[in-house]
Amino acid sequence: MNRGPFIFVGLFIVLAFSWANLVNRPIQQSGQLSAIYDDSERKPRIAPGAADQGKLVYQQMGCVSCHTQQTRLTVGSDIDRAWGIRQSVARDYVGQYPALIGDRRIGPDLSNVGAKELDSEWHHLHFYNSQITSAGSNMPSYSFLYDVRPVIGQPSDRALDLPEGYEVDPGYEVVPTRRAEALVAYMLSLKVDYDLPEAPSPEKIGL
Amino acid sequence: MKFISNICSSLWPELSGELKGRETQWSIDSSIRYPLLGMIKPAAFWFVVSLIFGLIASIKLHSPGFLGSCEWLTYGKVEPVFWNSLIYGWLFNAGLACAFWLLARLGGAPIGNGFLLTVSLSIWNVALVVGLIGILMGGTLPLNWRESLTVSGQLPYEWLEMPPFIAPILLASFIGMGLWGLLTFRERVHRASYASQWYVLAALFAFAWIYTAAQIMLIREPSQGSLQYLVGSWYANNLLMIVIVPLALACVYYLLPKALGTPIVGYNHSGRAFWSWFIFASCAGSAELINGPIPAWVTAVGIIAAFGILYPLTVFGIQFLSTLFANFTRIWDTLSLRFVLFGCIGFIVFGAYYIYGSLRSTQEVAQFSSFSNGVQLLGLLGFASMIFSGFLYFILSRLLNKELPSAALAEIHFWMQLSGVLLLVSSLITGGLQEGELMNGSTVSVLSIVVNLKSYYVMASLGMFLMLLGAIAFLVSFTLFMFSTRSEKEETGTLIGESPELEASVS
Amino acid sequence: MSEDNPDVLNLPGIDESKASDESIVKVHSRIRRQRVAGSAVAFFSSTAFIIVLTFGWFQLRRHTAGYDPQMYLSERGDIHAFLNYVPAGAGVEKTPFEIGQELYMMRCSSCHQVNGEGMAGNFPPLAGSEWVLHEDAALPIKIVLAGIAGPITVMGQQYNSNMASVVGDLEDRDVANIVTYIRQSWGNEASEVTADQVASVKEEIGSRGPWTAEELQSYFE
Repeated sequence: MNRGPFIFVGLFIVLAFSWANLVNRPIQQSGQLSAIYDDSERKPRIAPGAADQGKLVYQQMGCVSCHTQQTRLTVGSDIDRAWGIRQSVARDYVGQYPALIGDRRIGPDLSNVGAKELDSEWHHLHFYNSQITSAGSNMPSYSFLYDVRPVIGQPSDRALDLPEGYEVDPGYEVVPTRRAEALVAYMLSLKVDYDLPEAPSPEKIGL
Repeated sequence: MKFISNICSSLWPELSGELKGRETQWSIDSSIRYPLLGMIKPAAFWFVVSLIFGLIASIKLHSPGFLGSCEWLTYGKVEPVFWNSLIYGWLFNAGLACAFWLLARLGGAPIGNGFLLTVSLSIWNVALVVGLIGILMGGTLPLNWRESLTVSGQLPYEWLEMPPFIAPILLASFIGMGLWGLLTFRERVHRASYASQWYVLAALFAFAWIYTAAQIMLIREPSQGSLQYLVGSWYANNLLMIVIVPLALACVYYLLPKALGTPIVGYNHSGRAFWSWFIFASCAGSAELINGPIPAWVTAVGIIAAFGILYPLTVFGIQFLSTLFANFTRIWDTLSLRFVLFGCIGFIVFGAYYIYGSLRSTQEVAQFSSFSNGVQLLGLLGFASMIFSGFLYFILSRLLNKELPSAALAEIHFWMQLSGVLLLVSSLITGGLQEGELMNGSTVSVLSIVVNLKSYYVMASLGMFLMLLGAIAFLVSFTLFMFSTRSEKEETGTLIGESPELEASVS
Repeated sequence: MSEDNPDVLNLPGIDESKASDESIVKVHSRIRRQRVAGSAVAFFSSTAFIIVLTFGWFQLRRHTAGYDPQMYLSERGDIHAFLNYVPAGAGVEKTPFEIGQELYMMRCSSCHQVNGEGMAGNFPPLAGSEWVLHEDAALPIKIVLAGIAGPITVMGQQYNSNMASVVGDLEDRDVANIVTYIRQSWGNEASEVTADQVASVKEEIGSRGPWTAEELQSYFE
């Protein structure tokens, strides 16, 4: 123990063991998964181009601080809450870089949010001010993703239909920027509504 | 002018009169004074900055409108800035300053290469500023968001959120600092080595290893989909458990005999504790991925490893607490030992919660809640930060040959940090358990859970605020240390007396 | 300052050092060499070690699911039920052309249109385009991988706009399918493209921003 090299070699072995077994071995085992083509669809789905840009907005805003994108089957109430239909598995994230899986839920899980009956108007109102759609929520307002501008000629057909109490000055309208549109496209693209052979689901384990 | 002459006399003090047998210590302190002060300055600054961001993030959880219209300060950016500045700013600078001081002192010889250390730590801190601004700007630096879309956004891996191009700079400057540590250890006079030295060397080596591995497997050659999540948690867990915790353990091992004058109880078990700590803690990262899109066996192994730290924790607990309690009456009138006492208790509680939190039955309830953040903060603020604070007070008076400028400020720092961390951690842990019970154990709507947890969020903010006051007190204290005029006693070599020999008593 | 009013303070100005550094190293290194039998530390730590071993043994036997990389369940009952579940229906293979068509509709058709005719002035056509039908398939692969920006002449007409990379999270195989589709539909008749070709082009160009038409002009000389 009195020699530096002894500590370094020992520690090298310890860390190499940890890395080889808990990082490298899983990667060797399942790092080469590929998408499945089955019943005329690719699993996992391919997101449309706009959603790719929305994913970057999602990253820039650090949404992963409060929202996960993974659902659990045997513990928790993810399935009961309709956050997903089955256990999330590695193949669901094939091709995603970075994979926005997350480990903190202050808000709901978003892995299957695109399958909910929420249209783009709902999402826009929710991002503009979460109190409009979910009173009492502690989600921040992303109003800086929206332009408040004077109505010139015809009102824009993209302008938000703000409810009472949240209107802007008369003669002005709130229009989503390209970033807001992209973010909403990303939300709508998040769908894990397909089955995979290795994915446990309630019916497969008889829950 | 007065300030300038004061700071000059702090940086290059000249002592008149005899040093009373302290010539060696004085020459060691002189040889590292300049680079070490260069680390303590940014440390004190980052401590305040990180807690300001922590406070903003914490307030945003119960009052989402607070600074709501500012894109740079949205919760998803402020929160990673808090963690990153706390770890890479405060804990790294302070921890490495303490570690290097004890490496030099235990080596027993004045050391050179101060230039290497000064340059490396300056690069480290500048790169950190750029990296944190990068997070606030959305994970990239180009001001034009269209350009930034083609680069990347904020990385979603815990404690690796800074833009990728910062990583090589941080790593290079860290290697510069690490080399300095290694050279210092090589040039030591006392051939025997002490536990503090093992932990420092191990932490230096471990950081270089895990940071390189994480950067390669997440950014240069990213692994596939969900495996990134595995690499990310392996890195974050190891950063806490085998980099920061060992640095703080090194300080405890040094300060206990140094300030109490008795050897560590049961020191002959230290070697086993050292190796078992690194073996178990380095494998424990995957425990928190339970039930996720990761093969089940990986998390099973992680849980076993996390449970395994029970063994080294038992050794540490007995060693530290028996040494402290055997000299209980001497603790309170030594400022650094007050911090160390609560730091050690914090460590034992942290270890216990770490093991408890990784059990399957606990994770079933507490997964994805603030519980794990609470445990991490207990380790970072309740243990490491407490130890480093105490240690800094101990070394500052020796580096500068000055007395504590204001005992009142030091007391404020101590009490605020203690009460703040207690409030913060207890609200996150108990709040997290309640949150998890509602989130995982029922289908109550998320909105009503938020309402339910509001009091915990407010308590956490209050804790952050108290911690911030403590950090400001430390910053002021440090500034006074640097700028105060030297008293007559401080200009002579009589301020610090000669250290007696440690008496070897067999436990 | 502590000298001014020492009575007010309960803390001394300096934490005294009670042991010299050299003696700390020497004494502890002597303690390490001593054999101590039956200390409290030894008793409690070996008890802890036995607990750790027992816990680890049971967990390893019960929850590792045979180290199966595709098994996400950790309880035996669940694993048994899962493995005995009979899935319904087997997969149907689709041709590269069909997969490429689906991807084209999602990623490309908003600019180049469903019929591959593009839009005058802005988006060049793909049907009949010499850029798409070039005998060296590397040309269209390069454009799909990295995008192309600025003025470009296609079939004698000038176009000017920016095309971003369409790759995103697509794998090489998917990129190959897209290129195969555009080379073989709307009357186009050029060779099929494989994933290996895409991989080799990717390796050649590395990660880069969009091309300009001049950079690729060498294909027509």
